[in-house]
Amino acid sequence: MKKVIKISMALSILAATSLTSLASLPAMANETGWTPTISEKILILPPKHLETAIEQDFDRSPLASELGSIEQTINSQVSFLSQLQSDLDLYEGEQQLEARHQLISGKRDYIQLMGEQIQLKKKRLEVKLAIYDKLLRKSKRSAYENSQSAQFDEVHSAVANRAATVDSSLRDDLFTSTMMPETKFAGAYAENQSAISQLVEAIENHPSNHVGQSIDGEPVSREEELRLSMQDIQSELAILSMEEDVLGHMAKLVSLDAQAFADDLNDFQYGMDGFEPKTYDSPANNLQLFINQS
Amino acid sequence: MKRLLALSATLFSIAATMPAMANSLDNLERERAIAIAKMLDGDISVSQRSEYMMSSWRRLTDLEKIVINDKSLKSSAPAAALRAFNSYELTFLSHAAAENNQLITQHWAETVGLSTSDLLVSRVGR
Repeated sequence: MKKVIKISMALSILAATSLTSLASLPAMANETGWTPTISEKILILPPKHLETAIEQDFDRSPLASELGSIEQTINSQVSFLSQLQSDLDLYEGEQQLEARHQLISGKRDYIQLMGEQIQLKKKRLEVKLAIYDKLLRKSKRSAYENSQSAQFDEVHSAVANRAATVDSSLRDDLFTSTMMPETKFAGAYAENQSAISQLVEAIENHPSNHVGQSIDGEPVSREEELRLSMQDIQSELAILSMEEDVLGHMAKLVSLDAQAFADDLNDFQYGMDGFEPKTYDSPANNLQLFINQS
Repeated sequence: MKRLLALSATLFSIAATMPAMANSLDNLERERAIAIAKMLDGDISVSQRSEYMMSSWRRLTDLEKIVINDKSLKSSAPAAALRAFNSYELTFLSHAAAENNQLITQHWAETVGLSTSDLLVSRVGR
């Protein structure tokens, strides 16, 4: 009986703490962190490799080890709970009460572990988001610095294209008008220009030249690529918030289970052997004794 | 006096060791200036002018191609290069004239507003 009372007390504490455990999760997540060691030079990598580089950096962090170890604990906890739940009907009486207690306690531990894992996952995504934010600012800065250069390139390209349209006719005109052989430079220029044209065409047709991301066939800028990656991370964070809600509902269920269990425990403790409280006689029941005198 | 001589010698040696700063755009502008000067030179005959312009046309064509392919302009003289590129008609006389099927002389005169009709209606003023 003493054991049953102890379980009852433990359950009362469990019911009281199971709902508050989620609120205290941020404090429970230890100081395990991820301090990125990658440089801003990764900005030159294509998006896919950039993501891999960031993930590899995370993989080397204490945060990754902590996440991995929690994942293992959660997996073993899940298999323990599954086994216990399937075996619950095999127990009877006090043993079943003990098994139910273990199940509720195990569920509480699972929720606590999942909460910790979500906090660590959040931490990982927040650091990742900060990395992308830094890269985006760097990219914007570079773009600003290169704006003058881009303007120059644009004008220069327009001039080169315009000049190229009259190149061959100009050569013909010069030859027919002056009746002189073309200069050494002009000959070499034409030869190299032809080689460059062929090489440019080969570059255009090279499959690796079209590996960049595109939306509806339109090429995506570096900044846009980074923004898309940041959007992905933010959507993952939103999913984690939803997972926290799921855990909150799970915690509520465990709390109700614990309450029901406590009620059953009280029944077990105070309602044993069909015990019913004694009823004592009332003078009104014997009223006839005094009324019928004859 | 000795100090002055020493300073002059130092300055001379510095000047002698400095590389020539003329870039491809400078060379083109020099050649174009000479060609325009010859166009407007009233002291030479028509045939002399024509002969000179033919050889100048070849040089200008080559120099224009050199400027167009000169990647160093972006860092050495970006502002001057941009100005020159934006004035395509006057910078690249040979190529621009070819676009309009004109001679360099004719193209330049029309671009700066010296058409035959303009010249015929002009009056000598003081």
